[in-house]
Amino acid sequence: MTDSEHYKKLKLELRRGVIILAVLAELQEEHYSYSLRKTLMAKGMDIDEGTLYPLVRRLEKQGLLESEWREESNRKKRFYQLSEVGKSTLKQLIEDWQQVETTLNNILK
Amino acid sequence: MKMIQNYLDSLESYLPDEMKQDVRDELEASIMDQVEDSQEALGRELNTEETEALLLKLGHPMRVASSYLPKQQLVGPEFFPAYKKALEIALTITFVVIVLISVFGLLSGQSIFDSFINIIADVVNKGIYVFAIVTIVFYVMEYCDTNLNHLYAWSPKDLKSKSKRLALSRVETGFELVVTIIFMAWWNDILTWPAEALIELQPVKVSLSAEWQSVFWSVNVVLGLSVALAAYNFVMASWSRFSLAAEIILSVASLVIISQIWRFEQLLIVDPALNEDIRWERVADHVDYGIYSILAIIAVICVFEIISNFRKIRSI
Repeated sequence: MTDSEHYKKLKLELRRGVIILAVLAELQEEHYSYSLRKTLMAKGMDIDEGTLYPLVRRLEKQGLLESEWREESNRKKRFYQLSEVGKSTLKQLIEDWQQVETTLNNILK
Repeated sequence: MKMIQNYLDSLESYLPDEMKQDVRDELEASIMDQVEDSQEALGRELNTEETEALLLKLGHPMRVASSYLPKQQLVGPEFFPAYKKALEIALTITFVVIVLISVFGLLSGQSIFDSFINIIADVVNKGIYVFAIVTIVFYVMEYCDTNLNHLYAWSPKDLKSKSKRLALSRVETGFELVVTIIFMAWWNDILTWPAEALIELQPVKVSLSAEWQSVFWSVNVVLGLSVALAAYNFVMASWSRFSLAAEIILSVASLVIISQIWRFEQLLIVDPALNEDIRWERVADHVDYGIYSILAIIAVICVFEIISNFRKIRSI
């Protein structure tokens, strides 16, 4: 494996941890899959559909999200939003993230 | 749009029934929204190449479908160490059994080349079955979320010393195993080889004296236990208190048998040839001295092994 391939792998692993937090944070407002992806991309987090859509379904299965099907522009779309469990989990994750950020900043000094 | 429908049809085919419609509807909505956004940006409809590029970016339908499915591995990281160990033990036992069976084939007249080919073919054939069975067992254990605590239960006190002195080479134990089996086969007349010696260019028939009958069964017991112990050592590839104690007992038993043989009045019977110039009594004496020398060497080796194994036991 070349250096750049190593770097890409490590970057992917680094992102994996934060994607869930980003998705939960964004779903404090209601989104369907494509609008969620567009919003995250506009905010600088590009996640491909193959990662995002299954992730969102998994989070729903874990009880962190609620969803409902609605018809918009003659198309069936599944809208997601945080559940009550999702909201409290997000709160804890944000605290954990802030701790990790402080710790990492200390290490990187 | 036909291309998009074909893509979605293909993707559906890789999903279980209960997920097909849900995933299809969700992805269809997403793909059509992307198409609309691209068309708005371009100010026209997408052509075939542009639609193709959009779908290529999405990924192969099989890969996209698999990302929706749980448990994407036969044996996961939690179970893998135990699975690997189980596979090593099972394949080792399979190999040993196949080699032992092949040795018996060899003793019953099969050629060495044929036996070798059979060993290779059997190892591959049976090895694949063993691999499949062990993998299926561990797959089912993981699928059923089997608790691994009992499998990985351990205590620092129970860990055995893995010093280099206690390691056993599988090549050496395998060789010892095969040689002991061959010797046992000769001892029991399953395998015979020419019992002739060439003395002053004259072929002379040599045979064991009748006194050897007195140690026939004791030698068989020691050889049988040696075969069993060598097979055990081959699998474990490391000395333990049990195997070292067993080796010591077998060495002591061998010394007792050797001391019995030492007291024989006649070890071998040499059939005199037609040439009367040769003094056959002296020939018989020389052959006896040869046997006594071999017995003495074996006795020294036994004593050395007893001392060495005692030291190993104390270091465990």
